[in-house]
Amino acid sequence: MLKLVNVEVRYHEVILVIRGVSLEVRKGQIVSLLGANGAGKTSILKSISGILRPEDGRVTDGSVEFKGQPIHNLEPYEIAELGILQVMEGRRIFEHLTVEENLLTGAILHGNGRTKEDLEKIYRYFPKVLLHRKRIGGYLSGGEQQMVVIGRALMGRPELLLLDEPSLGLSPLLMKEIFSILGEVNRDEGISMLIVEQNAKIALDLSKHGYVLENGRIVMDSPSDKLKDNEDIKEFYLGLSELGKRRSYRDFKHYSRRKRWL
Amino acid sequence: MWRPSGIFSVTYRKEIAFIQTPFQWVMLFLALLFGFSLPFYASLEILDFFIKAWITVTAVLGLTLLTGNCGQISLGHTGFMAVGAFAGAISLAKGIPLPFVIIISGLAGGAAGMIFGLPALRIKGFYLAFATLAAYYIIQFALIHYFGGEVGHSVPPPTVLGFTFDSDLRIYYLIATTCFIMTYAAKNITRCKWGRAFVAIRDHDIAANTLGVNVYFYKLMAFFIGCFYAGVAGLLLTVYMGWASVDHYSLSNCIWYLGMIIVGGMNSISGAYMGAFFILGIEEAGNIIAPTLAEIFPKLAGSMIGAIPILFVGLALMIFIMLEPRGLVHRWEIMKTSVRIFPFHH
Amino acid sequence: MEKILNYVMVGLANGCIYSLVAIGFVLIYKSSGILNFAQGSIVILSAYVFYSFSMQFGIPLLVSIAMALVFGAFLGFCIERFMLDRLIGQPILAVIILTLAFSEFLKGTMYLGWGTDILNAPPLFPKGEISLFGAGHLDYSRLAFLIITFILISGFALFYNKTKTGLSMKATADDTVVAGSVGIRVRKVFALTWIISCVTAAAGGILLTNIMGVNYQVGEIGYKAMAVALVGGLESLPGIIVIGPLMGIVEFLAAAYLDPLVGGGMRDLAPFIILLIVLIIRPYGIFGWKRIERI
Repeated sequence: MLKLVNVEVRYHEVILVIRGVSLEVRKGQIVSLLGANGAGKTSILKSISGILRPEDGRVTDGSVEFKGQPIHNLEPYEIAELGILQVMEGRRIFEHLTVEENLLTGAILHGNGRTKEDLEKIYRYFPKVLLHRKRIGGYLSGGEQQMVVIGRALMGRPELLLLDEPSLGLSPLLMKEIFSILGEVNRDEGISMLIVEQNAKIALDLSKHGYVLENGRIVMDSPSDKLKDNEDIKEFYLGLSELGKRRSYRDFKHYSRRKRWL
Repeated sequence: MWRPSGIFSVTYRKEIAFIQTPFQWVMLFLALLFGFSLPFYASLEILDFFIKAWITVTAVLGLTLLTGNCGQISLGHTGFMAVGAFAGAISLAKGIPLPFVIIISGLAGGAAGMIFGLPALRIKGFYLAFATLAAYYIIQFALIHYFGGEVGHSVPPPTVLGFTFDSDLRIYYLIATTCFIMTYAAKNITRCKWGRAFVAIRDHDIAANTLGVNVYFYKLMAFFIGCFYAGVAGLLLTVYMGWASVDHYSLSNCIWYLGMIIVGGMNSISGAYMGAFFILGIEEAGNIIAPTLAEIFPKLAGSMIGAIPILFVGLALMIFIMLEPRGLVHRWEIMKTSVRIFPFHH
Repeated sequence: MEKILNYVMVGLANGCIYSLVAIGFVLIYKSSGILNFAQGSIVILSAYVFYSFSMQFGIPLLVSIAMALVFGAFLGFCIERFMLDRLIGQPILAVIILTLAFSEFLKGTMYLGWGTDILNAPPLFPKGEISLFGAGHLDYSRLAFLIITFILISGFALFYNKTKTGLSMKATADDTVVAGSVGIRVRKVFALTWIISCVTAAAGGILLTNIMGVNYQVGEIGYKAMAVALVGGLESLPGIIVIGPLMGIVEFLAAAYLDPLVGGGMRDLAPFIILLIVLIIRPYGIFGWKRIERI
């Protein structure tokens, strides 16, 4: 459904952050995109959803295709109308609107017809949000805000949901809750998702396929199960190493092993 | 500043040093030479332009510290200049020697700034900008109604140790020297602890507070220092004009001053110079062109002289901000980056 | 007592002028987060345009009113198209200076085109006055001002809270980038708000000609209206409808009772003093949104 072919992203026409990334999201699939800070994960999401421009960034090479149609030169709202919605990093809620108004903004895309049902659906998925529906968005706690933001995107009836670090700053318990809801949504609605995450374990558990990004390049690309078994992933992303074994000094020089990927 | 590659500062003292490379010494020397030798070969018109420029730079330096460094937007800057001017005019008339008068003007401007800076402790952004605009109107009201501002005060030529500043030439040196000292002081403020506190407040005042910066104190101090500069600049203008009147301190001027710091790039001292000369140059160009235009359109001749400079500067400022809202410095940084990494974009 | 009531009535009507002009500030601020310092100049420019159409070109009154309104809309559209594009997401200072520079530019234009004399536009309403409560006198043009302002503001308030376009305006005001990402046509929203606010400014300008005559210094009224908007809270339409008339009343009372004490000029100063006091006590205006800041 979504296909990135050799995409290059440049900021200010000078700084190259994404260097020829290709990836694919199939219909109904959840794909996770892992990588360290500054690897360019967020830039990839922004290049898909079209909000690079406010930051003076541009797709300078390659193409982003959605259902066979190139979309990297479209305005954000046009992309949203096609059915791609992004949940931005850091819980970007409309702080001065009430929770319900926040959700309704998501429905601006469509006619009035199904707004009410959609709203009820969101409340079903996120019962906590229903409790606070008249409150001002900015005063909610982080987890509740994240739910509102995801709900807002769902109100737009997306076919593909881009999630930028949904777990950022949340407690492990909340994180689990949100991810299980995401799984539910994926199963019930058939919405494909591209999830960018720092927390590799929870993302790989949910997703079918994973990509690992480093310095603006894809360095690994395989089904999630395989990724989870990969030695490097285990060590650098999942934080597991052969427990109990004695580690030689050489193992600490992990940067030299990382280099191999570039 | 120009700096060859491969030269790095090895100590912090060197990193924050005023002059870092021999090239900069040369530039400083040339600039000083130019500034102080100017009256020997420049015509009166050019001298007039430069006197106004140094006064403007002094005022803009204050705004650079207050708005550029500390992020407190002030639309009342010319109001504070007027306070300094009137305080200076009154004390000069009483026969107080000039060095003290300069300090009195500065303190008067600074005190007024601190009083009207009080709202800044609670508000920011557009609200603060407008509060300072209100301050401007209130100051103007007070000056007109209680200090004879409408007519103004005439100012006797000031004297220092029997030396009278009565010709343009002598006043030029007075103003250029003051401007130079104020520049030096401003540069020093930006690189000491206070300057760093200002920048922290500008970037995020709540975060600065949690880092142990006393936000209230430093905001007030920023107002005091910025308006101290305004007061001194107001006095200099009064000395040059020989007259203190609220008409010299219009709101338009304040807008141009703010425009200057944007043109120069917000928070750099050299930016204040760049911006001041850029805008003043355009205003001067307007003044020069206006009579010619008046001949071409005789119907509009009456209002041409007054309107053209405003039109010119307003338009230039609009275009500039639209093309480069972050000032010359931002463009300069991008250019440097692209040159440095030239053939390889990564 | 009768005198006070009279001041109150005149102040009330004058305050409505502020309310009407302040609508423009609030609408623009609510949608794009920008305080448009050029509003006052736009008001006067439209008034001048109206004057030229009706007096200099001899176009019938109603047609020239319509043309002045269209001019306002066109101006708003141009501002949005050519200026705003460069302003979204820029520092506040750049926004302030751009609008102020634009304001000065318009002032220069008006100075050039119409000179500095006070011009008298044709009367819009019949002369005469009504008296309320047996004491206060209110002439018809001021009464019309009161009614038009009230209708416009309540209309906008409804539009904001009940329609989808209103909601997208609110969302855009809150966070432009996110608004774009949820599928709001940000540019269209901006264009719409600027057109609406410039048309209200033009309407205000046309009505003003009837009370004050046309002169570019009347543009200072923009600052007073801005004081009203700030005291009411920049996000609040109800705030404007309450504060505008109140401000007008306070102004006239101050002029009547304080002027003898301080030697004149209180009428022009009162709004600013009130503004400073209110901002110190309630930093976001009386009805404004409290800024929610998280680190």
